[in-house]
Amino acid sequence: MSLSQGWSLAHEWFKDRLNPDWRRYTLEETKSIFSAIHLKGDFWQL
Amino acid sequence: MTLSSDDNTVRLHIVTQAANTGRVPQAPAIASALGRSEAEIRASIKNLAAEKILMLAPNDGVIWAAAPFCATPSPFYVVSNGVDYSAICIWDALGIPAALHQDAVIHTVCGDCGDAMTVKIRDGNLVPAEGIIHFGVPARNWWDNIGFT
Repeated sequence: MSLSQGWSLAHEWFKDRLNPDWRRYTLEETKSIFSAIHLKGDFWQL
Repeated sequence: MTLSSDDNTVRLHIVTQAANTGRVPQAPAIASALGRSEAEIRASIKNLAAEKILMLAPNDGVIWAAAPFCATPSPFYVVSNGVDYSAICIWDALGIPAALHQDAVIHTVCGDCGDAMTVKIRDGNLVPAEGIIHFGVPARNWWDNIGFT
């Protein structure tokens, strides 16, 4: 992936990590994140 | 997945301390800070690892990483607001400024040629730079061996 995609991914993934109410993304939420960042194809299937 | 209140308290303490100091606390320090027994803290750490929220070092069970913060020096060195951090990988290295909501400079090396690389986050944006991020393991297999991934 590009650095830009990496930043988008990391930003979405970690932006709330210090929030007391943080929880792990569900499988479906993770798939949506990958799709929104155009991480598609078999390599990115969960 | 919903963490128990105790486990979430431990989780939050770990990442908050790591964010504030650049150092991931271990069980004895966590127990002291939270006024709980080390056995209770180790149980929470084990639960958090089972939920893939913490990564533990093989063999001795110490916290290796509380993503995005790594407990040991690594090839991904992050500086933000005067604090030095370590990350396991570029995803976590980028995750540090994301979690902190602060500017950061990431110092690393190219995994292919070994050349030094610098990545900057400023005002919530990636400062344009050359480079790609390579994942060697398909997403469905990441947690087969997260250390290798």
